[in-house]
Amino acid sequence: MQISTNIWHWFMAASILAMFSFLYKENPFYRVAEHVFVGSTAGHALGMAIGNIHRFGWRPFFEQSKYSLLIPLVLGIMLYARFIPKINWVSRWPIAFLVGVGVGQSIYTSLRTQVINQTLGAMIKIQGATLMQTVNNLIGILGLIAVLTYFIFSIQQKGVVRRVAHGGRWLMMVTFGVSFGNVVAGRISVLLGQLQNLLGTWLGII
Amino acid sequence: MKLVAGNIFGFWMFLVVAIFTLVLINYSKSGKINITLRKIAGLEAIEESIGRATEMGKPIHFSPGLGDIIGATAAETFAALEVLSYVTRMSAKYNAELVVTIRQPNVFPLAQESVKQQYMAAGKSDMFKEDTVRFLSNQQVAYTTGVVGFMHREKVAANIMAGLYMGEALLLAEAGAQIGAIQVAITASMTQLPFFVAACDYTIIGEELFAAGAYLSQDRIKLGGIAAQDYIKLAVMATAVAGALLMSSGSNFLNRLLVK
Repeated sequence: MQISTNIWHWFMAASILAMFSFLYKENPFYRVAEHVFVGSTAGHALGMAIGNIHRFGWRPFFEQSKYSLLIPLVLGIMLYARFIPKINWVSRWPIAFLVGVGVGQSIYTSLRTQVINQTLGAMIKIQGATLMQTVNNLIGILGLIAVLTYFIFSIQQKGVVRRVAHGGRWLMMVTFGVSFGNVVAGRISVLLGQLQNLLGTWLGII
Repeated sequence: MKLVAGNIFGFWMFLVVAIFTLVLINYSKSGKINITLRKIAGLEAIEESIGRATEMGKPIHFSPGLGDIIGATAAETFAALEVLSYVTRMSAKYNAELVVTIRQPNVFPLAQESVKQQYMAAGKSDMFKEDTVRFLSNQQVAYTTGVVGFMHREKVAANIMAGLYMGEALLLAEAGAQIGAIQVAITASMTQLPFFVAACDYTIIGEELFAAGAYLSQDRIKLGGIAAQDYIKLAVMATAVAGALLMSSGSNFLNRLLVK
């Protein structure tokens, strides 16, 4: 056993233990760690934002004469109008611009990835090399129909539609169960990482 | 102008989908068609959870998720903000305290504006306070830590989570379950849905998030949009089945068309 003499390792260990103490209940140690964490990341984000404005806006505009940056700079300044009650409506313009760009950017990519590519993926040859493969392909196609039926909202779920939609729901639940197991295994590796920090980096036991 | 190979079908499909959606929205708006959405049980539970918070005299926590208003996560965030409008209306109706926690700086002004306007519309402007909408941190885990701590300290009675979620989903839902809050999760994040299903009282899954706005507001324009999406889903089903049958009979005509 060789306990670390690095002050940052002690800080790391104290933070991990404070976070783990939440498993007992919400307590002052957790509260301190929580506030330090939230505060420091908020401060880091502010620093990054100021750095970005300087790097991508201020410097290119004033030092490299990239005057086209005037538009984003002005839009950025307009955002701060929300702190002045008389003209706080001005801040809605850059927000509207951001929203417009956001929707515009995602609209085609969503159609491409979530509709066209998914449809392409479902167009498989049903008969496989083995019987199990054929059954698997059939489950794929029928599953797609059942799950999509569940997500049809303007048709009331009655009779056959209801049965098919219920089948889709069951399929999703099975998928969620599999996914749950996979992610839990992933989380255990995160826990192991923290234990390694405590027992290895800090205490030097392992 | 020349269309880029690989995007030709996508371009024409985009145009057809856009025109079709606009036509259905107009039909719905003018009352030519009446659209009734099927029941979404989890959404009905939102009012129940707010009623419970009122009875207990404890706050409601709402999170619009981790998504931004820019990029691929925008749709989920906008859908979450629509749910927020409804939650605020209900909170005003029942005089229940609402606290909204935010991860994305870009979402903060939208959420704040939305909450403020809903309270004003309900004639209860005094319910809006400067800390009703709180920005915690744009770092995922720090945001989660803050929300978990807040929920435990304030002993929230209802926890409503809508929008995009990632690895923190279980941490948030588990914290809510520990304090006995009634929890409603609304997300299209497929990888996180299992955790919400396991830890929340009601989980609204996948596309139901996008239908939530129309369902809760019964706005004819939004209902028209949902109906259009439904017809597109039916077309996708038909295309997938036709494509699979064609592939099985040795023709890859539809595949080639879609990748054009």
